[in-house]
Amino acid sequence: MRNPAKVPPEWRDAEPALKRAGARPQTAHRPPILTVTVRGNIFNQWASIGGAGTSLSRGKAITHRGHVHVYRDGTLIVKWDLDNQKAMKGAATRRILELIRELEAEGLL
Amino acid sequence: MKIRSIRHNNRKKVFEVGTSTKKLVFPFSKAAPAPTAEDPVAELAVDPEAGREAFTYVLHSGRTGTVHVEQVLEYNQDPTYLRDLLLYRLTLEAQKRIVASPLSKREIVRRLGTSAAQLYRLLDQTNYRKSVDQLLALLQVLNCDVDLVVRTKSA
Repeated sequence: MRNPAKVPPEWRDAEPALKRAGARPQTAHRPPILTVTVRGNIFNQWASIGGAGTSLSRGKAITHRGHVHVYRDGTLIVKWDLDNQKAMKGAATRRILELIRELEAEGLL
Repeated sequence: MKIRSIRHNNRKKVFEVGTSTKKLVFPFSKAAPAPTAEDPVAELAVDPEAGREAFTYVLHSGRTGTVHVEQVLEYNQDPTYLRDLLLYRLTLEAQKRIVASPLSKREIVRRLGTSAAQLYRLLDQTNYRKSVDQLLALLQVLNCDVDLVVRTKSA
């Protein structure tokens, strides 16, 4: 169990969701990526779906002709080919792939 | 490719995208939601959340749209972008063929006259620093005929 005093304030709201999801506490320096339901399952801080871009305060997904660009902190994590289910650039973690699949199932991508 | 500047031209009905080397245009009609005379662009900015590789606009009605630089490059038929797409498609085809091929990877390496590391580099679809002719050689070893068809683009 992480010492609450050591958790940065911007991460504190993410901790209960982590426990609910049964995920391991994050030890990395980056905040965890979680699913929350705001008009569909979107990444942790992602706030709204608008046009081709899924906006968020910390990350962004932009769909374009059968592939999706996923960014976090202004850095491209993966360019994912939705038709062939392969990374075109970068590498995707299992959690990101799950979220892409969920967004696809909801028809948001 | 990073976007350096972005402007909209209501008379030409295009977004004018400035990159480090060139200025490209992207018509309003290709964007979703499309800006119109009744619902013009109210705000327009390069998107830092997308690593400055996209721009976001807000219409007068409040609707928001995001356009990635690759959409702009595709519309402008950028040769480097199209070359990367071709390379990606050829790599996927080579991956499929290598699975279906009765030849072992070691044998393919021998026939290509290269190293195993080079073969895996060729089969990596995220690697765009390989040449098309290396892939053509691989497809040849995999017993594939590759026809290059040159045709004039339809309007």
